[in-house]
Amino acid sequence: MDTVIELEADEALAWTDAVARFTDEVIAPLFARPECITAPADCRQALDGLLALGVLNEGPHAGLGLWDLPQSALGRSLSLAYLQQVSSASAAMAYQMHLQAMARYLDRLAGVHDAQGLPLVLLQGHQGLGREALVHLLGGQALTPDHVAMLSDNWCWPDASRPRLLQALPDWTALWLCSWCADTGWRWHRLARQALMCTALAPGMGLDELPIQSVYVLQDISVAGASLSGEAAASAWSTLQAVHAMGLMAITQAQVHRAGLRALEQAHLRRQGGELIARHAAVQQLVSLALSAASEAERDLHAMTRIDAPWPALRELWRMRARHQVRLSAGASAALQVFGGMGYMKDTGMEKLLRQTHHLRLLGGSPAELAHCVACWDTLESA
Amino acid sequence: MNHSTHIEGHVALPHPLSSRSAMAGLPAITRQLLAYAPQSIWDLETARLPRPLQALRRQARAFAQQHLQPQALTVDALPHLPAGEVHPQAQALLALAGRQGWLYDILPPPLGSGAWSQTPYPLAWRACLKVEEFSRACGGLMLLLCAHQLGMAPILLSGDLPLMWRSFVPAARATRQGRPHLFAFAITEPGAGSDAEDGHGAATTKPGVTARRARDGWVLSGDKVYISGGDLAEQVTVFAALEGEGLDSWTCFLVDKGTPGFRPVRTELKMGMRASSAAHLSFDQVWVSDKAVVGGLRQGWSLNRATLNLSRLPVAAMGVGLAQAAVDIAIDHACQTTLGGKRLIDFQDVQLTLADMIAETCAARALVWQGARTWSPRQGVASMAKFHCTDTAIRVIHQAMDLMGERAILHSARLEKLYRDARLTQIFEGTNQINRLSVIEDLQEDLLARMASAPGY
Repeated sequence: MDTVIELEADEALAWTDAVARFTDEVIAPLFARPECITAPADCRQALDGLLALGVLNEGPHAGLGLWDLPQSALGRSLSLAYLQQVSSASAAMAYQMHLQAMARYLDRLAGVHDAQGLPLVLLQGHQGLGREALVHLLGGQALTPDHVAMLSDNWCWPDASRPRLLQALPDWTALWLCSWCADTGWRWHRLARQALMCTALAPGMGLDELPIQSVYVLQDISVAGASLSGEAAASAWSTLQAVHAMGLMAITQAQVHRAGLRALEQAHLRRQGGELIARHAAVQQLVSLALSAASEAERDLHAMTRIDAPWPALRELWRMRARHQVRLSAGASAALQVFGGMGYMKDTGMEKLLRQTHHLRLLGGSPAELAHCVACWDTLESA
Repeated sequence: MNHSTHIEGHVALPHPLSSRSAMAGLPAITRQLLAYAPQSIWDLETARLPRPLQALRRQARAFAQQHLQPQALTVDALPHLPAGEVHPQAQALLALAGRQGWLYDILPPPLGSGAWSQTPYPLAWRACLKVEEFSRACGGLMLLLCAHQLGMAPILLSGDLPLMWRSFVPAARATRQGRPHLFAFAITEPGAGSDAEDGHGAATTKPGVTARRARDGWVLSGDKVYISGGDLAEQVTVFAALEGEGLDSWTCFLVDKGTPGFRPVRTELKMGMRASSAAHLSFDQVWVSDKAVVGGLRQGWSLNRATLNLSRLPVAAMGVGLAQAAVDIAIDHACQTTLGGKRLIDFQDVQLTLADMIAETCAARALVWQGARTWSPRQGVASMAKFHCTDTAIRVIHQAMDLMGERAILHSARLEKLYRDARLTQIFEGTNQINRLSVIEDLQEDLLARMASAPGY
């Protein structure tokens, strides 16, 4: 029996409260000035604190850490709560710990124990997810030569011409990479940093504290370290894509919730036309757009963590993400609009919330790509 | 290079069932009526403009592609500078644009540098054509070059020819000589963003910048914020309420850089449009003479509203230019990126998205051109174009980002910069919410008449 299931509800609450306190007292002050980028050393210090708390679990056994037991409803509940709490102070920190936790999940599956290392994971091919070919594969349909070509291309080992993107603190030491080819299916390899060529790219849309890096394999894969193959690799791929979808949604939801609350606060402070702007329908609509986007995403996330909730199907998660990420983006934009010109300036922090929301929308499959996959999946299944 | 004969899902151009081949078999006169020669949308639309404006559009595109686009990403990433300072690249571009006549092209010589052949065409239309092309290349550099014409507008709209002569002739001359003389337009105050752009709000606002009568002139006090290019301008058209009165007493004053008590306090760290500054200007007992009054006392509100009616169409054109840039990036991406040996453009869902983006952008442009085709753009038309086109820009940029996926987060992909630049257009020149209300304000007589004629009213 896993440890999480034995946790009482009030214990779980106390646990997440401790994370919330840590976020308020330690993480939030580090990110209090949105116009400045928090230094990597400060980010790592915050992550070390989360490690000490047990939110990040680097041990060989699953416990109460982030994504230790995603298959358990309570494990999902705790994980989503961790991500949302940390994201309310910093989306970048939440995303970094999300990547670290997923890598540790693979470590445990592969029997790797590397407490000193900092492994990460990459979950996207060089051109997204692989479009309809991926849906055929996941749906157990026969693959046409075109599908095989698309999957083999998208999920090839990254080389100089087809690098993959990683966004994380620069101190990582190993990377879990997946590939697909017609002969072997999915395979995972844990590559040491020395086996990879990593180039820092110019800062992008959001998650400012995490440098964007272009990564490809430098050395022969045959000399690589741990790996997963066969059914275990396929299962891990599906599980982690589902975890990734939930995690990205939770991180974004917390950002937009915060943006909505800040917009609400502003609406009760700022006057226009002789009265508080909260009295104007235009502002009410904007605030509502932000808060309702956040609450609807929260409702769907919460539904996945009920004690009797089944493991969420990837197709439904992608359907949910395709819908929610668009609404969350619109919500963050509406929240900024409440601030008018002030919202556009870096020191209010609203533009950072907006950029991050848009940034997160594009990771793990853009809404358009997810919607395309879901449409294809729906049609195939009904046939 | 692989030259394909067709895009998947469509017959090849030489195929007898392709519309191109089929139409070629029609009689010559019919072909003329159908205008079915292969042509890009840009060429097609340009050809429908009057000849002088065709030339203007082509010149604007050439200048933007040659001088703005290559610098767009670099300038966007440069460090923030204190107020009044400008990066050498931006300074060089200002000087070049001035020498080539792009800073004073709304007026003909000697007041400005516009071609006489273009002068018969409405000012807003000419401005929109230029602004769209510049925005397509770089939103920030476009604002650096174009915001100053907003500062010129109150002087122009005042109808005061001696003032225009005094202000514009030396400024245009210096600019043509490579010493850019910029104007800035200052209405927004720390406590009044939307109130400065909406009559209902203005009626209850306590003015921030005031003008007190003194020594054959006026003493200005207070602060203006978010003034585009305000720290670089040689002269600023500043709106101030007369002492003890409300915004209905607003008067426009032309304040010279270097006037004692006037100083740019700081420039903002902005989300986008980073090549152009947004300045906080402080007026500490700034004395200006009576000659600095633009358009007469208490004419400031009307000049402000008239300026906004004129300037909201170019802001709509910014939206069109930014949307067009997103369309172009998305098309290039779809044509040049392959997956499993197949180009993205060959996937039907990609074609559907691109067609949507193209249509939305063309429709937005049509709205701008329709509204700008007149010398007296109406408030409602300018406002509806402004909010519709800038909202369209955001939608189209999102579509392009979704199409590109994860790689759209990269600075080098240009889309994230486009988004950051475009987001400002939904805020300045009146938020899009204020602009929606502005449409209704403009329709008041009609709406009141309908109410009066309604049964039971």
